[in-house]
Amino acid sequence: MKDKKYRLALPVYDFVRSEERYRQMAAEGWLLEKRGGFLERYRRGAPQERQYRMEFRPVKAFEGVEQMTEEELAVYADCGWELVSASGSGGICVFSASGEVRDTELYTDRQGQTAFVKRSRNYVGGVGLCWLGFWVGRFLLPAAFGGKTLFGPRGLFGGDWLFLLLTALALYVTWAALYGGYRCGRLVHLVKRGCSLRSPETQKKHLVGRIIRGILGGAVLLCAAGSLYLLCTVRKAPLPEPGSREPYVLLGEAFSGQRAAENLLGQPADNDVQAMHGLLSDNYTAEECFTTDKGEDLWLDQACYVLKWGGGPAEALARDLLSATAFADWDEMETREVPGFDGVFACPYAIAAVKGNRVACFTGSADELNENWDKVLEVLLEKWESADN
Amino acid sequence: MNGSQPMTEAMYYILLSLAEPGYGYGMKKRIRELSRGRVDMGPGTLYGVLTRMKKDGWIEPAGDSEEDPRRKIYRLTGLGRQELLGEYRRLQGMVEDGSFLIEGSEKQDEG
Repeated sequence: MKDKKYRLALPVYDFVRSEERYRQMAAEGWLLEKRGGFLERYRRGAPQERQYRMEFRPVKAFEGVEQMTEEELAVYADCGWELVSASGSGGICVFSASGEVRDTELYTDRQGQTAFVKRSRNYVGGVGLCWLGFWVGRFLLPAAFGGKTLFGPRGLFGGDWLFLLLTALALYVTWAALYGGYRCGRLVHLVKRGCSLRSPETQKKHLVGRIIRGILGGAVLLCAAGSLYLLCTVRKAPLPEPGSREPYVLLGEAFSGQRAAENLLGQPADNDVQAMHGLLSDNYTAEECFTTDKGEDLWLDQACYVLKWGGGPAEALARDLLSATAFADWDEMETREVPGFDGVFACPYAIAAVKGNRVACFTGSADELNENWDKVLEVLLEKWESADN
Repeated sequence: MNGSQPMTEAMYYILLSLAEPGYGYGMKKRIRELSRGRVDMGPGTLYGVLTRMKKDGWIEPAGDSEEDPRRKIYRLTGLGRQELLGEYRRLQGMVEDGSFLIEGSEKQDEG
């Protein structure tokens, strides 16, 4: 029989509902042990009547959370209230008392209640800041760091599934910050007017809030499900041994020649790569910079994979290379019929050619490619034929 | 918190309860007795008001309780006593002002 149980925590601003939940769980024999930002932990115990009250500690700029003093805890304990959980650096506290406790409220004056509700609003504001941090990381920092994203599929923090999970989390905190800010603001207003924290008026939920919650809740679930699906299904391809005749095409091979100091025509490739590669890894992020025909440096941030190649769709492989090399959308790629090749695909700045189980991809300025692509392909075909012979 | 503003009920009763030095929960019990059960202060309110008063110099620590050293004993300062007296006079004045009109109208109603 399980002795621990975990549940998703209700948002900070919904403290009245949280307190009622803890009371009901205690009546069923599950006593709150820890209340974190997102999860609650219960331990099994004897079913009992208990009251629970949440408390939000003041947070001071540069000093952090104002912790409860021994004296304060003694006052609470004398009144029958025992601290059962302190999370968020001690900022979010939960007190518990037996069902017969005389003082059912921690704050009995309007000033104290208003200050308490304002503190809960500040915590919601803190959640809002987390949300802001996420989106700054997601969209603004990439602009500052040459297109490299912090959380995206090609970013510092991993693959697609993590990105989706973080998006789900961001949506959740977005909702909590927006709706919670509204709820807390309204609560402050009502308590200042003398309404009790637990009156039907203060606890009334609005249709707009329910709609926002429904939409965002659905989006969160979708993202979380997508994340789980990707996590379970995406597997990295194993690396073939160097020199083995495994049916793979490594991007390193596909790129060879085109990344050298000279292009296939033997001309100086001043428009080619200046940056780093990790072509023999099975899944890596490469950054490269090349000079466009306008003389501007263009940074590409591309995810590259070892692609399994064994009579599979050559066109898909070639298009993938173009997509990874020059950020081209598939429907932007031009298909060219070239004798000797199974397929040739072109987009501005890059061309991919396929013949049998060989794929080549090379980059250059749009003008250069347009002028020379037939010559380049001719040289490429000769190279491949001489290699076969 | 300053002397120019009326006190809240919690502040007034805490100062009253400190006619003799006492600790948090002791004050709470004394307030309940003084108000004949009408005022029953929650621990958050009690500690919050004590902290503000200490900061404003209306009360001061006077040692630890012998039963439990976590319990701090407080007493009124001269400033706190002065504030309490000021509030008492203000409330008394308000009652006198009201009694002139209210008791007069009650007599008229009875007549």
